[in-house]
Amino acid sequence: MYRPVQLSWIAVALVLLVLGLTLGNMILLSGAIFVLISALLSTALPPPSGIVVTRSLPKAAYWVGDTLTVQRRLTAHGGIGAVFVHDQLPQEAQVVQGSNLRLVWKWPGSMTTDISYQLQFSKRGMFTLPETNWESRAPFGGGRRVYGSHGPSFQVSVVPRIRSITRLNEVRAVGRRGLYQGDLAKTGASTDDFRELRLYQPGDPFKRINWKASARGTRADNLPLVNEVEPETKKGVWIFLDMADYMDVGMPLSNPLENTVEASGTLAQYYLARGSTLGAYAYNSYGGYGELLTPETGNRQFNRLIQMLTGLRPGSPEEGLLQPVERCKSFLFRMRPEVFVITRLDVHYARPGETSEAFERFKAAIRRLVSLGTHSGWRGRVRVVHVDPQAFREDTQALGLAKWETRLVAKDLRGTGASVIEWDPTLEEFTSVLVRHVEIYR
Amino acid sequence: MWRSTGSPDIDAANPGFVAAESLLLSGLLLLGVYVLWDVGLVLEVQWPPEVMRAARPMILFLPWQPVLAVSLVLAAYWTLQAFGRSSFAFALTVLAAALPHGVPAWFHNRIGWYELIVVRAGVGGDRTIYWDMALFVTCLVGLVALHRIAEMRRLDRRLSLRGMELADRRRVMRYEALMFIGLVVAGLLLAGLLVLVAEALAVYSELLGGSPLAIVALGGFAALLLALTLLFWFRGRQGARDEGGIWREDPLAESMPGRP
Repeated sequence: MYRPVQLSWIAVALVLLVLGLTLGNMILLSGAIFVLISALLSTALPPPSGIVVTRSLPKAAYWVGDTLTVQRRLTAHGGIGAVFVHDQLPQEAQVVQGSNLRLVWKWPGSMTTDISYQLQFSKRGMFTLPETNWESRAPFGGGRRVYGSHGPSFQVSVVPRIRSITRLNEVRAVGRRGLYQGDLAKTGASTDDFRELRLYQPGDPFKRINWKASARGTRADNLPLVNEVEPETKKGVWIFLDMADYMDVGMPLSNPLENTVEASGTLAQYYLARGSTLGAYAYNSYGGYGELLTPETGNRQFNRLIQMLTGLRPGSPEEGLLQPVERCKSFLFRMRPEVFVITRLDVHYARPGETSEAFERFKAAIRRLVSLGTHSGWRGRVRVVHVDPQAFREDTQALGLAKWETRLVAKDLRGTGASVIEWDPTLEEFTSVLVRHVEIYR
Repeated sequence: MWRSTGSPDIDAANPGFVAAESLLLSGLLLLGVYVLWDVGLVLEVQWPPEVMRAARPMILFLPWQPVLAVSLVLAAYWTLQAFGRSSFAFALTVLAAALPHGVPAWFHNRIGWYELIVVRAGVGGDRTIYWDMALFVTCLVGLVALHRIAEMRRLDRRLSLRGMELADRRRVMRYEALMFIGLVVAGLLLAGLLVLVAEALAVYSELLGGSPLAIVALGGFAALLLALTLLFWFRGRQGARDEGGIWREDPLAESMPGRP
């Protein structure tokens, strides 16, 4: 459409025309004719039409930090002028090469051009790339403009990058506990391998009763003997992930939240590779509700965990740890797992003048986890993994204070029976921490 | 808002456009000054005696008329642009550049209205109409070009602020400039042709009982062009509605749903 200024050119031409006719002035009339010819030519040229933008992605799932190439092809058939092509991107996407907003000039005739660009996602999650918008404009700035969009929109799944555990698999440390039975899971499928005979307990299936062995000797309590078999899974592991917003500080690609996700993935990879049963609970996540991953084994469980981790978003720390522990109590009681709580300890420190209610609740939750083990005869350990915040790295004073606070909180927690693992992601990968952990406790 | 999320090369207004605009405006003003000088209208500046004594050589040897005209209008133009009054600045420029051409044009009226108003200037009826016409049309070409350059400068700045790639911007600006040159050349050729046709028709002026046939012919051409322009305008608008497109004042200045 004409803009007011261009309409005013027509008005100028009209004035010159009227004046020229009234005065019989050829100069004014020739001026009017020139202005009108210019306006006419700029109006008559149509903008590029028949525009089609096709877009494709090589894959639908990427690791965090991976480069994703969005291939776009613009085709236009008629008209002349400029064509704008724009892809609206999520906040977490960063263009690393090319541009999501391109301006292409089209001369008369058909035109096809590739206008690809490359993206990186700095955070995990499910992201939508909406359909491509385009707009064509006739030349001279005042002609027609037409715009539209072409789909489809794409769903991109950006999954957390989990470090390889090859190093861990090579660790051949000697188990210190010598109680392999303590690592056996109480739930899950059983194998056919016979382990021992024991007295019947309520709840044992009748098909496990060894009638011959029971008939050999009469016992005072008249209880039959049952065949105890090896369970299929060897160990239970439970991970509590703290998804509170205080974890989401620092750089997008490496902050306590992302480090927590990475640590969970590494732990899961390590234990699932050994046939363990894994369950997890992400507390303090977005929306005030935690995310539960019911215990399972195998690669499928790892994929389910990755899927859960992909969708996690930080939330307010209202839920706390105590409530999730109560919610997962039945699983913990049956599985008797090793428990990992991944959080930041320095945030639990109550400074002078602050109420220590939150820390007391956290401590109560740890105590509850420890006591659950005692009540059920479970000798699994409770380990609190402290993810060191890197936000204070440049502020030496704040860093020192945070470390001091962490130590005080860790000391308190050790008093409850839990062990504390401190992890500084800037100094080492979580795999290294896990290597040490395996060497100590295996 | 349409915006690239890449690394935008944000810069201020392209200095090339600013320089081109200033040069063109100066040229148009100098042309106006020349036209006024040609018709004998000279601006005489009465300098205070103190200033004369202090800077006599400078005052005597500098052409004050063009320097004053160009400096004042340029200063007013850029000041108004800086305050966001670009339409007003351009209207002032049109007046400053085109009004001087009105004086010689007045002496080429072929209908006797001019006798009602007496312009006292050192010109007579012996001025060639084609020279004055060429100067006036040159002024109009310059004004159209100035307007287009100002638009391109604003567009370039908007594009750069939205992170449009420099190569894309330069390419489009270059093609826009080429298209504009083509438009001006075509406009001049067609206008010249129409004037020649009108002059050729003037041979048969006795057919209209002494009426200036060239004027009638030029007026007819102009009316036809006006009608065609309006026709294309309405047709284009209707076409956009049929296509389901949306017409907007400035797509780059409006917000699109969502982010950048």
